[in-house]
Amino acid sequence: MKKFFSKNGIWILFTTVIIAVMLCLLSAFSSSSSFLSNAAGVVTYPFRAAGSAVTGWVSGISDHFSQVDALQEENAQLKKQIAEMEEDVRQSKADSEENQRLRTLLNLRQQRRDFSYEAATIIERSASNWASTLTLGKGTEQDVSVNDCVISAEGYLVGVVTQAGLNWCTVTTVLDPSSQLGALVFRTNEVAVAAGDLSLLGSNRLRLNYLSGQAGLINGDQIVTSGLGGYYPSGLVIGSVEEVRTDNSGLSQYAIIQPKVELASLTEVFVITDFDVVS
Amino acid sequence: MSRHDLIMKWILYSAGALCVVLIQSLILNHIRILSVHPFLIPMLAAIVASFEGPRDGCVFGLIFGVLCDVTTQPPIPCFYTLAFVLIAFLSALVAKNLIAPGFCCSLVVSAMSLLVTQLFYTLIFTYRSIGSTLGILSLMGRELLISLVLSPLLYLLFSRIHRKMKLD
Repeated sequence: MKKFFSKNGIWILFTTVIIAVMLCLLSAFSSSSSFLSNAAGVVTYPFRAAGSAVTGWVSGISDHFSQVDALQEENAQLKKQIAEMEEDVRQSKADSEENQRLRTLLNLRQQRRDFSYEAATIIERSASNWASTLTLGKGTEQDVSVNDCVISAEGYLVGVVTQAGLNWCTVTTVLDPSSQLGALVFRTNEVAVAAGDLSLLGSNRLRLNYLSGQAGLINGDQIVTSGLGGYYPSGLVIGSVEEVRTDNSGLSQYAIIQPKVELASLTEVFVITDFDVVS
Repeated sequence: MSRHDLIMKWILYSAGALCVVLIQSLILNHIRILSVHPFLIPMLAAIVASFEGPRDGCVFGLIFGVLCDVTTQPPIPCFYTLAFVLIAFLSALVAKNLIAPGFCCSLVVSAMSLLVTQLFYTLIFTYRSIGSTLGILSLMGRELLISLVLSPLLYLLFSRIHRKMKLD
């Protein structure tokens, strides 16, 4: 061991420190992803996409045989849900017409939301148990950039782009312990912060922090993005309240949220590359 | 050992590591037991270093760590570079001074490699005020338990490579 230290150990330590510093500097001086990460992502993209396709094919076959009964039951429930939603659509159409008449009366501008989407397939999931990230097969070539929101086909929030390469990007999901999003309780309009939590990561849940003492949340309350600050669009569904708890100090409350999106079964998502909310 | 054999040995080690990485990403990432999936990556650096000694093991750990850092999204840019060099060094230390390279040594260094990686995560998360102590300890325990079960398979793979190149 002494020979190792005197001959090679110092050089290996020196080289390690130099490489570590270079990696940190490359990451710090790039807005979307470092040159090395970008190059590695581009080179490994075909293999990751192929691997994801194989995994998807295998799980598709196993799902085909194992979930027939569950799918039939889900089909019946969805038909019932569609009927209820059609009724809601009829009601909201009437409400929208009334809204339009009142806006015209008060000379208000039309409120609209213009989103630009880019569809993307998931080519890799995070290997670590300490994070929840997805790698998508779209990048800066398709106008994807850091801080773009990612949603599922149903419009539920999946996460936010935190790294973008030429033809790939990394999404930090809503479950990741480092994720923090401005949120709104849809029923009460209370503003809070939806954050990932390490102790809830395994059970696919997240926390709603900074609730006021008189929050008055109930189970099932829908949580959406607040859009405050203009970084993310407002109204994207994050999940629903499962439980309200008091923190250790006993002074404030927080809620456990069940996300609407099922990350394990996601294969395709949509990146909101641009949005414009006019009100 | 001739130059040709040396190159062949490291090609075989790299191919073995690549196989394990593919199995991790295509299969293990989709399996959840106790809400975690097996995480074999740190054990690669540890087991190879236990067979090859501190110098070669640290160089392998350094290269493997840099590759992991540029192809994944670690919590800090040099996470795996620092972790795997330290893991390789400690594993070589254990193999040289405590337990002779073999099945028991590979179990010990595999557990140590997971603990070092988890310690790195804990330090970073504590600095960023992410996660409670109980949550971190629970995750550490579950990940260690589930991942260690598969370490004998890694030992079998790399010990075979080591023995083959030693005999040749």
